[in-house]
Amino acid sequence: MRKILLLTVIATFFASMILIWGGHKVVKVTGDAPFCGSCHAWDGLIAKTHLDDPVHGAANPKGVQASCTDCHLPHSSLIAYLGQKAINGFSEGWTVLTKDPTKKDWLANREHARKFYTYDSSCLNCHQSLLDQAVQTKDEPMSKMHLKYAELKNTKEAMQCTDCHKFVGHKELGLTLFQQNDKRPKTWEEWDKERLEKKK
Amino acid sequence: MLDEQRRKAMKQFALFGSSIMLFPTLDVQAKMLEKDVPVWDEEFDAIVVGSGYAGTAAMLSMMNKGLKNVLMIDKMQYMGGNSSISGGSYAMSRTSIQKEHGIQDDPEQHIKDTLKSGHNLNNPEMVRIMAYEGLEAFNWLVNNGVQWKLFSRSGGHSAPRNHSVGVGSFITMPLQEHIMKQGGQQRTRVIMDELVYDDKGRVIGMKVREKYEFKFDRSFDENENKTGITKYYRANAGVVLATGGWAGDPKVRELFNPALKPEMPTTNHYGATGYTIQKLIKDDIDMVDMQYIQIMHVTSADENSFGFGFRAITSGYSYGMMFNPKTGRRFVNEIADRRICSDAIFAMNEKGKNHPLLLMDINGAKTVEIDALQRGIEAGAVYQFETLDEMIQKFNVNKEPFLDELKKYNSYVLTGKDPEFGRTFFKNNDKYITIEKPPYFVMRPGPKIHHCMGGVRTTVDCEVYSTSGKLVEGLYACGEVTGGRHGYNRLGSNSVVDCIVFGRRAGFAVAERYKSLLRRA
Amino acid sequence: MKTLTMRIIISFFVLGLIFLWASDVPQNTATSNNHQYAIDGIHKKLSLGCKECHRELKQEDYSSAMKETCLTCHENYEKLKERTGHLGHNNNVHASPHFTNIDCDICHKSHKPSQNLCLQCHGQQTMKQLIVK
Repeated sequence: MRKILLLTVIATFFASMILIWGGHKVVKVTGDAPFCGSCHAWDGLIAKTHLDDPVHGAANPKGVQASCTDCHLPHSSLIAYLGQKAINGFSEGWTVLTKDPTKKDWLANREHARKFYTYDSSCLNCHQSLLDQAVQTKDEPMSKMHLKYAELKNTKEAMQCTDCHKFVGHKELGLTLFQQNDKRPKTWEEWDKERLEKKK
Repeated sequence: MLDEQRRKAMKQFALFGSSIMLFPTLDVQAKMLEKDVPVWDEEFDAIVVGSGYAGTAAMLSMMNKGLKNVLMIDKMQYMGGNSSISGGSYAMSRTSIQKEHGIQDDPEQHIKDTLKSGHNLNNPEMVRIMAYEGLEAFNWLVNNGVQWKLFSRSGGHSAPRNHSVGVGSFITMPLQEHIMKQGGQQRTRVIMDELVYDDKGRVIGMKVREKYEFKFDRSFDENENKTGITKYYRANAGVVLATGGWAGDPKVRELFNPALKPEMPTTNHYGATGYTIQKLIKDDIDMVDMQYIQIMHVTSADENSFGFGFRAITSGYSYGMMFNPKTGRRFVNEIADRRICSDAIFAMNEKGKNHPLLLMDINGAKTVEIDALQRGIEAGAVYQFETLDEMIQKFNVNKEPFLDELKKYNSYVLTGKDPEFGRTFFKNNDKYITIEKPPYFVMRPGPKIHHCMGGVRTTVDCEVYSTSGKLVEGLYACGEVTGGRHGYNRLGSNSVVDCIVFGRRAGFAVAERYKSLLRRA
Repeated sequence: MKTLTMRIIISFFVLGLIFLWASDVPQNTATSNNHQYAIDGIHKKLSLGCKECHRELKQEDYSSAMKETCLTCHENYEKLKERTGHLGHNNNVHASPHFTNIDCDICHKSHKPSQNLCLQCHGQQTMKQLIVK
């Protein structure tokens, strides 16, 4: 009897360790570039703009960087985080299976992405002291703007962090997307090739 | 006795004073004198007015000779004026780039071409200086970060000797960076209103307005622009004028050449007005060749101003054929100078109703950088056709004579001789380029008012003459604001040479004067 | 009873109307000023007053030559170039090969309509369509 109890306790202990540690690991791995990129392979260029970003990306000289989900999932609570993650997982899986990403105008989509796929809670998760700092150094232009943000919160005129900080995390995103769309030949060799293709 | 004298003096003053009143045009005062300056707001060793090719060359040169407290001013909200939007092309023989292309050329030929286009009205010593000293200036630019990108031939030159950086700002910007690095000051929105003279007629400073707001309206007379705050700058060693031309000023250019109507298009930026040149005339500065204002034909009639058609049209004149759509025939040597060609185009274009067509095939088009050609197409300046018939239909070309003319043209290219108009042909990558292989590219050249050959008369060291024939001490001028280098008509790509060579000379001259003033002191 | 019910219904209805009207009172939004210019609207929403941009002491000295003030918030020309990167090489108004670091007010005006400097020479369709804020 005691042996069974002991075995059960030990088994439960190991099982829960695996679940918790493993679960945490799964959440972490499915939040970073290699996993996101496995489906979001079509936007490899967009991921590259993140890698090139010198502030929030891999090109930061101090080595501090944000992973995909650090910004693109809400950080207001664990439930919100995991909940949105699950929802996104389903909807994105569905999209990958049924729709064609090359047909979408990603350049025009930037505003929509900024509004619905970036969260003030995720910015403030790291930049917590911003609002306190704003109160202390009231006269600096940056602080004035942040105090205004705090003032307009929960009103009809509420602003998002990304209303001003539009290009955080992805370096030269606009130009990259433009160039992706621009199918014109860049050299005379490409022009010759394109012409040969057309003739066929 | 004293009373008598006093009465006489009073009478004379009264007479003089009342006669002044009778002069209706004298609402503008004569030269500004030192005693009229309430207080000098700032003091400099030298001031350069204008920030284009000539101004930057002058400033960097004087700084290289040791001057430190120097200021460059420009009235616009941006620097570089016309230089920044120009083609950035420098005509020079004996460069390493020219040799790489296997071209045999020499400065005497360059001089001959320049004098021919100028109808021998150019100052021959200045032309000689440009052709010979221009090589040193060319290398000086390279040493200061300028990178030559393209090589071509411009109208009126007997050999390809035009080196281009792509766009003029790629010459002015590296020079300006050096100026800033060496501590030179540059200010925009500062306009020079008057030169200030001492009692011996020497230029010692200027009256300016800071925070000047230029009005972007060609029909607006800049004399009416009263914005800005008046300040007085002292310039101890001298003032260098590099304020450019007035081809963008419909009123002033018509004064000197009544054939240039106000509604005619121009390549110039809005800032190219006659404001400064009018002030200099009022100050009795001597002018030369003012009636010669160039109209250039390397721009597209389908575009507003300088536009994007420039590169394709330049190649078209070297490797293509220009003809009148109504007759189907050529009417001029395409690679003749701008005066000859513009006159010929005006003679046939029926005041803009019958633009000429400049045609080249894909081999000709490939001599243009692909992105420049694409920009031309996007801007509507370059048309692309798969067949000649498509072109003939689109522009209503007189088919039979045109096809005959095309055959003749191609035969001239291969023999290297054009018995009709005397055009010469050069190989590109060891091959003559005919018009044979589709797709075909067509441009419609439209001449636009471009450059003022005339201007301030100077010595070869850029010292300025007054109308009395004496030099105005402390005053120097270089670039398009001066006259005498180009005579009747300027060759393409000679202007940058003029600006850099004489800009440097002006800078050296000011530095010399500074040193001699120090020695005297 | 009938009249009492009617009275209750009517008073609720009236209260409802009053509530609707009260909630519709316009707040201090960007549209409630007398200018239509986009740039003025954004700056007004952030409660930027005259003195935030014009640093001159006296109002009669106010000039639009205030590039440094603009750059206090808009940082530097490199960032602006990135901001309009989506227009592509031929239309990126902040990446002109001709002029760099030019005064903002050539194009952007707060108290009158903005204009496009590039359009003075480059009239391609894609440039014409640009809206200058």
